[in-house]
Amino acid sequence: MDKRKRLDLLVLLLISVFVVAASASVYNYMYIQASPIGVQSPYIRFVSGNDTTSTLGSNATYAKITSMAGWPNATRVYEDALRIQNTDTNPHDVELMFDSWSGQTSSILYIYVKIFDSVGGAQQGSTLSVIAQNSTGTVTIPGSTTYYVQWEIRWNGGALSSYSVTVTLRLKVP
Amino acid sequence: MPNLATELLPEFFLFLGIDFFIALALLTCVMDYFRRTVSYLYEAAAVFGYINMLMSREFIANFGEYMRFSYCFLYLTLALANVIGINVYLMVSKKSWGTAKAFASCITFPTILISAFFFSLYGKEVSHILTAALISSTMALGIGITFLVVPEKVKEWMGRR
Repeated sequence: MDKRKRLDLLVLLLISVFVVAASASVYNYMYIQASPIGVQSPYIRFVSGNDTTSTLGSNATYAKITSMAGWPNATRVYEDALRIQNTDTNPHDVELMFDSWSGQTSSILYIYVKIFDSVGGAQQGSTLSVIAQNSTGTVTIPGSTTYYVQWEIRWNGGALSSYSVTVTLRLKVP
Repeated sequence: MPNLATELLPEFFLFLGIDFFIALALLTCVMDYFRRTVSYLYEAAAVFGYINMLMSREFIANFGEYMRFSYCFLYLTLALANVIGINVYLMVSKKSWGTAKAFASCITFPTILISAFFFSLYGKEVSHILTAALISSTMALGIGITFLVVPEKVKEWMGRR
Protein backbone atom coordinates (compact mmCIF):
# COMPACT_ATOMS: atom_id res chain seq x y z
CA MET A 1 0.00 0.00 0.00
CA ASP A 2 1.54 3.31 -1.05
CA LYS A 3 1.85 6.38 1.15
CA ARG A 4 -0.98 8.27 -0.54
CA LYS A 5 -3.37 5.39 -0.09
CA ARG A 6 -2.46 5.11 3.55
CA LEU A 7 -3.15 8.80 3.99
CA ASP A 8 -6.53 8.41 2.24
CA LEU A 9 -7.38 5.51 4.47
CA LEU A 10 -6.47 7.50 7.56
CA VAL A 11 -8.65 10.44 6.45
CA LEU A 12 -11.55 8.12 5.63
CA LEU A 13 -11.18 6.32 8.94
CA LEU A 14 -11.26 9.57 10.87
CA ILE A 15 -14.38 10.75 9.04
CA SER A 16 -15.95 7.32 9.53
CA VAL A 17 -15.35 7.34 13.27
CA PHE A 18 -16.90 10.79 13.53
CA VAL A 19 -19.94 9.93 11.37
CA VAL A 20 -20.66 6.64 13.16
CA ALA A 21 -20.28 8.13 16.63
CA ALA A 22 -22.39 11.16 15.78
CA SER A 23 -25.10 9.04 14.13
CA ALA A 24 -25.21 6.69 17.11
CA SER A 25 -25.51 9.65 19.43
CA VAL A 26 -28.38 11.15 17.38
CA TYR A 27 -30.12 7.77 17.23
CA ASN A 28 -29.80 7.37 20.98
CA TYR A 29 -31.23 10.85 21.51
CA MET A 30 -34.10 10.05 19.17
CA TYR A 31 -34.76 6.83 21.02
CA ILE A 32 -35.37 8.81 24.15
CA GLN A 33 -37.30 11.51 22.34
CA ALA A 34 -39.55 9.00 20.61
CA SER A 35 -41.50 8.30 23.78
CA PRO A 36 -43.88 11.25 24.09
CA ILE A 37 -45.81 11.37 27.33
CA GLY A 38 -49.35 12.19 26.33
CA VAL A 39 -52.58 12.64 28.20
CA GLN A 40 -55.05 9.80 28.29
CA SER A 41 -58.55 10.01 29.65
CA PRO A 42 -58.65 7.83 32.77
CA TYR A 43 -60.59 4.60 32.44
CA ILE A 44 -60.72 4.00 36.18
CA ARG A 45 -62.67 6.53 38.19
CA PHE A 46 -64.23 6.91 41.62
CA VAL A 47 -67.96 7.13 42.15
CA SER A 48 -69.58 8.25 45.40
CA GLY A 49 -71.12 5.49 47.48
CA ASN A 50 -74.53 5.56 49.14
CA ASP A 51 -73.31 5.08 52.72
CA THR A 52 -71.01 8.11 52.93
CA THR A 53 -70.58 11.65 51.71
CA SER A 54 -67.63 12.04 49.41
CA THR A 55 -66.07 14.76 47.32
CA LEU A 56 -64.62 13.82 43.97
CA GLY A 57 -61.78 15.64 42.25
CA SER A 58 -61.67 16.54 38.57
CA ASN A 59 -61.97 13.49 36.30
CA ALA A 60 -63.03 11.59 39.45
CA THR A 61 -59.50 10.38 39.96
CA TYR A 62 -59.45 11.64 43.53
CA ALA A 63 -62.03 11.02 46.24
CA LYS A 64 -62.35 12.32 49.78
CA ILE A 65 -64.78 10.61 52.14
CA THR A 66 -65.87 13.08 54.80
CA SER A 67 -68.63 11.45 56.79
CA MET A 68 -67.26 8.25 58.28
CA ALA A 69 -67.08 7.59 62.01
CA GLY A 70 -66.37 4.46 64.01
CA TRP A 71 -67.67 3.20 67.34
CA PRO A 72 -65.57 2.42 70.42
CA ASN A 73 -65.36 -1.31 70.98
CA ALA A 74 -67.75 -2.14 68.16
CA THR A 75 -67.28 -2.52 64.42
CA ARG A 76 -68.94 -0.06 62.12
CA VAL A 77 -69.21 -1.18 58.52
CA TYR A 78 -69.72 1.09 55.51
CA GLU A 79 -70.55 -1.36 52.79
CA ASP A 80 -70.88 1.23 50.04
CA ALA A 81 -68.37 3.87 51.16
CA LEU A 82 -67.01 4.48 47.68
CA ARG A 83 -67.10 2.83 44.30
CA ILE A 84 -64.39 2.17 41.73
CA GLN A 85 -65.65 2.16 38.18
CA ASN A 86 -63.99 0.81 35.05
CA THR A 87 -65.38 2.89 32.21
CA ASP A 88 -63.40 1.01 29.58
CA THR A 89 -64.78 -2.03 27.77
CA ASN A 90 -61.59 -3.97 28.56
CA PRO A 91 -60.78 -5.29 32.04
CA HIS A 92 -58.18 -3.39 34.06
CA ASP A 93 -56.13 -4.17 37.15
CA VAL A 94 -56.26 -1.94 40.20
CA GLU A 95 -54.63 -2.13 43.59
CA LEU A 96 -55.72 -0.19 46.63
CA MET A 97 -52.69 0.59 48.77
CA PHE A 98 -52.01 2.22 52.10
CA ASP A 99 -50.29 5.60 51.79
CA SER A 100 -50.31 7.35 55.16
CA TRP A 101 -52.40 8.06 58.23
CA SER A 102 -52.40 10.55 61.08
CA GLY A 103 -54.35 11.57 64.19
CA GLN A 104 -55.06 9.38 67.25
CA THR A 105 -53.87 6.28 65.43
CA SER A 106 -52.99 4.46 68.66
CA SER A 107 -56.67 4.39 69.62
CA ILE A 108 -57.72 2.56 66.48
CA LEU A 109 -58.22 -1.17 66.94
CA TYR A 110 -58.53 -1.73 63.22
CA ILE A 111 -59.61 -0.21 59.96
CA TYR A 112 -60.16 -2.71 57.21
CA VAL A 113 -60.77 -1.74 53.60
CA LYS A 114 -62.17 -4.38 51.24
CA ILE A 115 -63.28 -4.40 47.63
CA PHE A 116 -66.50 -6.19 46.68
CA ASP A 117 -68.08 -6.90 43.32
CA SER A 118 -71.44 -5.79 44.72
CA VAL A 119 -72.81 -4.63 48.06
CA GLY A 120 -72.73 -7.76 50.22
CA GLY A 121 -71.25 -9.72 47.30
CA ALA A 122 -67.96 -11.52 46.86
CA GLN A 123 -64.75 -9.92 48.13
CA GLN A 124 -62.14 -9.18 45.46
CA GLY A 125 -58.48 -9.34 46.42
CA SER A 126 -57.36 -9.40 50.04
CA THR A 127 -58.18 -7.16 52.97
CA LEU A 128 -56.29 -3.89 53.31
CA SER A 129 -55.44 -3.31 56.95
CA VAL A 130 -54.59 0.30 57.73
CA ILE A 131 -52.67 -0.77 60.84
CA ALA A 132 -50.66 -3.37 58.87
CA GLN A 133 -50.24 -0.79 56.08
CA ASN A 134 -50.69 -3.36 53.33
CA SER A 135 -52.75 -3.47 50.14
CA THR A 136 -55.68 -5.31 48.61
CA GLY A 137 -53.40 -6.92 46.05
CA THR A 138 -54.25 -6.74 42.38
CA VAL A 139 -57.95 -6.72 41.62
CA THR A 140 -59.15 -7.04 38.05
CA ILE A 141 -62.23 -5.01 37.30
CA PRO A 142 -64.04 -6.31 34.20
CA GLY A 143 -64.98 -3.86 31.48
CA SER A 144 -67.83 -1.43 32.22
CA THR A 145 -68.10 -2.66 35.81
CA THR A 146 -68.25 -0.95 39.18
CA TYR A 147 -66.72 -2.41 42.32
CA TYR A 148 -67.59 -1.34 45.86
CA VAL A 149 -65.17 -0.30 48.58
CA GLN A 150 -66.15 -1.34 52.07
CA TRP A 151 -64.69 0.20 55.23
CA GLU A 152 -64.77 -1.51 58.65
CA ILE A 153 -63.78 0.72 61.54
CA ARG A 154 -63.33 -0.12 65.19
CA TRP A 155 -61.95 2.20 67.87
CA ASN A 156 -60.57 1.08 71.20
CA GLY A 157 -62.96 1.09 74.15
CA GLY A 158 -61.35 4.17 75.62
CA ALA A 159 -61.56 6.32 72.51
CA LEU A 160 -63.11 9.75 73.05
CA SER A 161 -65.56 11.43 70.71
CA SER A 162 -62.99 14.14 70.04
CA TYR A 163 -60.60 11.59 68.50
CA SER A 164 -60.17 11.28 64.77
CA VAL A 165 -57.79 9.83 62.26
CA THR A 166 -57.12 10.70 58.64
CA VAL A 167 -56.28 7.84 56.31
CA THR A 168 -54.87 8.28 52.81
CA LEU A 169 -54.95 5.39 50.38
CA ARG A 170 -53.61 5.13 46.86
CA LEU A 171 -55.26 3.40 43.96
CA LYS A 172 -52.64 1.95 41.67
CA VAL A 173 -53.78 1.61 38.07
CA PRO A 174 -51.05 0.13 35.84
CA MET B 1 -36.06 -17.13 23.81
CA PRO B 2 -35.19 -14.08 25.93
CA ASN B 3 -36.85 -10.85 24.99
CA LEU B 4 -34.12 -9.43 22.76
CA ALA B 5 -36.41 -7.29 20.72
CA THR B 6 -36.52 -3.67 21.64
CA GLU B 7 -38.63 -1.41 19.53
CA LEU B 8 -36.51 -0.23 16.66
CA LEU B 9 -36.99 3.23 15.26
CA PRO B 10 -37.16 3.61 11.45
CA GLU B 11 -33.92 5.62 11.72
CA PHE B 12 -32.11 2.41 12.59
CA PHE B 13 -32.16 1.56 8.87
CA LEU B 14 -30.54 4.90 8.22
CA PHE B 15 -27.87 4.05 10.76
CA LEU B 16 -27.35 0.66 9.13
CA GLY B 17 -27.08 2.32 5.71
CA ILE B 18 -24.47 4.76 7.04
CA ASP B 19 -22.43 1.82 8.35
CA PHE B 20 -22.62 0.04 5.01
CA PHE B 21 -21.53 3.15 3.11
CA ILE B 22 -18.61 3.61 5.49
CA ALA B 23 -17.61 -0.03 5.04
CA LEU B 24 -17.77 0.48 1.26
CA ALA B 25 -15.65 3.64 1.48
CA LEU B 26 -12.95 1.84 3.43
CA LEU B 27 -13.07 -1.29 1.28
CA THR B 28 -12.89 0.61 -2.01
CA CYS B 29 -9.95 2.57 -0.61
CA VAL B 30 -7.91 -0.52 0.19
CA MET B 31 -8.86 -2.48 -2.92
CA ASP B 32 -6.88 -1.67 -6.05
CA TYR B 33 -9.80 -1.81 -8.48
CA PHE B 34 -11.29 1.58 -7.72
CA ARG B 35 -10.42 5.18 -8.29
CA ARG B 36 -9.63 7.41 -5.35
CA THR B 37 -12.81 9.46 -5.72
CA VAL B 38 -15.05 6.40 -5.27
CA SER B 39 -14.07 6.05 -1.62
CA TYR B 40 -14.74 9.72 -0.98
CA LEU B 41 -18.09 9.48 -2.74
CA TYR B 42 -19.13 6.66 -0.41
CA GLU B 43 -17.89 8.64 2.57
CA ALA B 44 -19.97 11.60 1.34
CA ALA B 45 -22.98 9.27 1.09
CA ALA B 46 -22.41 8.30 4.73
CA VAL B 47 -22.22 11.96 5.74
CA PHE B 48 -25.44 12.55 3.78
CA GLY B 49 -27.04 9.77 5.84
CA TYR B 50 -25.93 11.50 9.01
CA ILE B 51 -27.47 14.80 7.82
CA ASN B 52 -30.62 12.85 7.00
CA MET B 53 -30.70 11.51 10.56
CA LEU B 54 -30.28 15.00 11.99
CA MET B 55 -33.19 16.22 9.87
CA SER B 56 -35.25 13.26 10.97
CA ARG B 57 -34.61 14.21 14.58
CA GLU B 58 -35.56 17.84 14.01
CA PHE B 59 -38.81 16.98 12.24
CA ILE B 60 -39.75 13.90 14.26
CA ALA B 61 -42.98 15.53 15.39
CA ASN B 62 -44.01 16.46 11.83
CA PHE B 63 -43.03 13.32 9.97
CA GLY B 64 -45.23 10.30 10.41
CA GLU B 65 -43.67 6.90 11.08
CA TYR B 66 -44.56 5.70 7.59
CA MET B 67 -42.71 8.61 5.98
CA ARG B 68 -39.69 8.16 8.26
CA PHE B 69 -39.60 4.47 7.47
CA SER B 70 -39.88 5.19 3.73
CA TYR B 71 -36.85 7.46 3.44
CA CYS B 72 -34.75 5.47 5.91
CA PHE B 73 -35.46 2.22 4.12
CA LEU B 74 -34.75 3.88 0.77
CA TYR B 75 -31.35 4.93 2.07
CA LEU B 76 -30.58 1.41 3.27
CA THR B 77 -31.71 0.02 -0.08
CA LEU B 78 -29.32 2.43 -1.80
CA ALA B 79 -26.47 1.23 0.40
CA LEU B 80 -27.32 -2.40 -0.33
CA ALA B 81 -27.61 -1.65 -4.05
CA ASN B 82 -24.11 -0.20 -3.93
CA VAL B 83 -22.76 -3.28 -2.16
CA ILE B 84 -24.30 -5.48 -4.86
CA GLY B 85 -23.13 -3.01 -7.53
CA ILE B 86 -19.52 -3.27 -6.36
CA ASN B 87 -19.86 -7.03 -6.46
CA VAL B 88 -21.21 -6.97 -10.01
CA TYR B 89 -18.50 -4.48 -11.04
CA LEU B 90 -15.78 -6.77 -9.74
CA MET B 91 -17.32 -9.71 -11.53
CA VAL B 92 -18.31 -8.17 -14.87
CA SER B 93 -16.03 -5.19 -15.51
CA LYS B 94 -12.89 -6.32 -13.74
CA LYS B 95 -13.45 -10.02 -14.42
CA SER B 96 -11.93 -10.70 -11.04
CA TRP B 97 -13.93 -13.84 -10.27
CA GLY B 98 -12.03 -14.79 -7.16
CA THR B 99 -12.40 -11.40 -5.52
CA ALA B 100 -16.05 -11.17 -6.64
CA LYS B 101 -16.81 -14.54 -5.08
CA ALA B 102 -15.03 -13.62 -1.87
CA PHE B 103 -16.83 -10.27 -1.82
CA ALA B 104 -20.20 -11.92 -2.40
CA SER B 105 -19.80 -14.48 0.35
CA CYS B 106 -18.04 -12.26 2.87
CA ILE B 107 -19.60 -8.84 2.30
CA THR B 108 -22.71 -8.90 0.09
CA PHE B 109 -24.42 -11.92 1.62
CA PRO B 110 -23.81 -10.92 5.27
CA THR B 111 -24.94 -7.33 4.71
CA ILE B 112 -28.17 -8.50 3.05
CA LEU B 113 -28.74 -10.99 5.85
CA ILE B 114 -28.08 -8.38 8.55
CA SER B 115 -30.52 -6.02 6.85
CA ALA B 116 -33.12 -8.79 6.56
CA PHE B 117 -32.69 -9.62 10.24
CA PHE B 118 -33.26 -6.05 11.41
CA PHE B 119 -36.12 -5.66 8.98
CA SER B 120 -37.80 -8.70 10.51
CA LEU B 121 -37.01 -7.34 13.99
CA TYR B 122 -38.69 -4.09 13.02
CA GLY B 123 -41.71 -6.06 11.83
CA LYS B 124 -41.59 -8.04 15.12
CA GLU B 125 -41.20 -11.39 13.38
CA VAL B 126 -37.86 -12.67 14.60
CA SER B 127 -37.06 -16.24 13.62
CA HIS B 128 -34.44 -18.43 15.27
CA ILE B 129 -32.99 -19.47 11.91
CA LEU B 130 -32.49 -15.85 10.94
CA THR B 131 -30.81 -15.14 14.27
CA ALA B 132 -28.41 -18.07 13.80
CA ALA B 133 -27.78 -16.98 10.22
CA LEU B 134 -27.07 -13.46 11.42
CA ILE B 135 -24.45 -14.62 13.92
CA SER B 136 -22.68 -16.78 11.33
CA SER B 137 -22.85 -14.08 8.67
CA THR B 138 -21.45 -11.48 11.07
CA MET B 139 -18.52 -13.81 11.67
CA ALA B 140 -18.12 -14.25 7.91
CA LEU B 141 -18.24 -10.48 7.51
CA GLY B 142 -15.46 -9.99 10.03
CA ILE B 143 -13.27 -12.66 8.44
CA GLY B 144 -14.11 -11.37 4.98
CA ILE B 145 -13.10 -7.80 5.75
CA THR B 146 -9.82 -9.08 7.18
CA PHE B 147 -9.13 -11.05 3.99
CA LEU B 148 -10.03 -8.20 1.67
CA VAL B 149 -8.38 -5.40 3.59
CA VAL B 150 -5.08 -7.01 4.46
CA PRO B 151 -4.64 -9.96 2.08
CA GLU B 152 -0.84 -9.77 2.21
CA LYS B 153 -0.81 -9.94 5.98
CA VAL B 154 -3.22 -12.89 5.97
CA LYS B 155 -1.12 -14.71 3.36
CA GLU B 156 1.98 -13.97 5.38
CA TRP B 157 0.31 -15.29 8.52
CA MET B 158 -0.97 -18.39 6.79
CA GLY B 159 2.44 -18.97 5.19
CA ARG B 160 4.11 -18.82 8.57
CA ARG B 161 1.77 -21.53 9.85
